Amino acid sequence: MTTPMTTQVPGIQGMQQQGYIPGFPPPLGLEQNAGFGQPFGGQQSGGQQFGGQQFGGQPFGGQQMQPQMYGQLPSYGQTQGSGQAQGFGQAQGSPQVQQAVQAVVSQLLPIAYQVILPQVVAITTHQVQQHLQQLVGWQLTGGQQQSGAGGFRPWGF
Amino acid sequence: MKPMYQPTREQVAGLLQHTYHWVRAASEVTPAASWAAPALTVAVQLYDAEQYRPALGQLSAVVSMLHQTREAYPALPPL
Repeated sequence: MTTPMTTQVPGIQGMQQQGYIPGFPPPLGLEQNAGFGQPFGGQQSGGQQFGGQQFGGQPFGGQQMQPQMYGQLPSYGQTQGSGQAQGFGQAQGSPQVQQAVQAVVSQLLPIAYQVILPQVVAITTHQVQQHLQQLVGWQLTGGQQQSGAGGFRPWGF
Repeated sequence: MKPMYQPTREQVAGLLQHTYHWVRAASEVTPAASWAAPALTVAVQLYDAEQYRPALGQLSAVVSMLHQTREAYPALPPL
């Protein structure tokens, strides 16, 4: 016969008063540094160290304070202080929808930057070069548009 | 011209671990925090590929998402 045991974590209230909530890691002030203003460093009171190197003295996410590259999420109706979604139509009203959109976008952005964008740039560059060659040739021929085999048709028209 | 900030592997790993623990704990409080899990996974993948600056940028986006989550759920502690 087992007796129920109630576990009591001593000093929870004290820890909560100090800003520490059980289950959560001690705050590092990441929100203040991840594109919300101040450079990283000097904010942590706990002196967190990872791998022997203490965070601090360096801007978080690069020189720019805004999240860059994959962190640059488009503002699909960011919630303001009143909690109302603004911009991008009236359909997005709940924070859950916004979070879902941001989650999907954050997954797609790295793929877009790493895979799709280079391909688009390569294709576009190639097409621009072709059009430039056609345009230069058209200019050299005096802009004469002639139909038939000897004719030069810029842009394929 | 100032050199670009290059995070170290340990720094990125520490931030990833911290964010992961926070998201895990927050998900038990509110399921809305779990939205950040896929984006955090992408950051880990970038870290695995030794792309530390992109991983840091992705992590910054995750923190932005979690910041909005905290605005909706003020009971969540800061990151």
